[in-house]
Amino acid sequence: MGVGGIPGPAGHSVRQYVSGLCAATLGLCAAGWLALAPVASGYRADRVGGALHQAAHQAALHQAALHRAALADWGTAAALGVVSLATLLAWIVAWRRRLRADGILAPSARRRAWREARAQRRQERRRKHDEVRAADVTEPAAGPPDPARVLNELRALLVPLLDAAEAVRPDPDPDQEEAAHGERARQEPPRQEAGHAEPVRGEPAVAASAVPMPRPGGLAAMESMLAGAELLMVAGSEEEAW
Amino acid sequence: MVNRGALAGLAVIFAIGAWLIAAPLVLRYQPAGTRWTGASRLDAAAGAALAVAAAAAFLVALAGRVGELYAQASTDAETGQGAE
Repeated sequence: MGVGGIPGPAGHSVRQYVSGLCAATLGLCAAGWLALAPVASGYRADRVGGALHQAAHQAALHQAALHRAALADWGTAAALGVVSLATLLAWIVAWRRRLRADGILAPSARRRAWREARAQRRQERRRKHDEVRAADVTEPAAGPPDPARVLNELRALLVPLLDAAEAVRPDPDPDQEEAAHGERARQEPPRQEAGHAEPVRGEPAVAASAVPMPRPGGLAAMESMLAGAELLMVAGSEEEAW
Repeated sequence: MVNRGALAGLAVIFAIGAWLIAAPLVLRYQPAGTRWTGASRLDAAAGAALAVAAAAAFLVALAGRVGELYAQASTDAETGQGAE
């Protein structure tokens, strides 16, 4: 038979928890006693009795020794108190876990409800966070649109049209191409000179160089529009930076 | 199911008890060759009580844990034989 008349292995387990609790409680009591003893018990009596019958320097030594003893007791009491309290709590927690595992102690409904509510709140928070992240990936936060992104989208829309138009157009004559190229080259210097004399609001000269490989015909107009839009976006972003 | 923290706490309490027994000599508030002062006696007594109690509790907890392991092993053996 174990503690409390409990037979078998259950008695063993009860005994070990009870002994642990007793030792921790004794430690707490000893800590309290050690904290009070220098003040309450015979230290002062020893000091007084010793001082009467000894030389002055021996009495001083004796008092210093008792002072050291008091400090040691207080320090030990503090450490013992902390350790005993922690040990007591650890034994209590261990025993409660054991009782719950054996089915003797049922988990309290309020605690279970609190745990379930907390788990549910965490799940909701995680779900909201995932939704926000998914929304940010598809549509970034509202604000000024990214110029580079807008231009890329424009290009993606226009390039297929340009390619389709080029596919429909018949193969150009090489002589006609050279003539068109020469005409364009002749037109460029006067435009540039005009640009030096009167500062034009910048687009044509720069636009001609911005279009990497201009295509003949009406397609050049579309490309120049694209280049112009790019310049406007860049200018707008520079203004914002200012 | 005794957690290690609880056992470690008992070991620390034993160590503090041993320290209390040795403190008068270590801190030299008990002169050698003289009658023991009240402080020394008090510390030694408290230290001895703590050390004995902590050691006993530690050994009982250890014995209980070993008993649980034996019981678990015999249960496993029975279920294994039953399965066969």
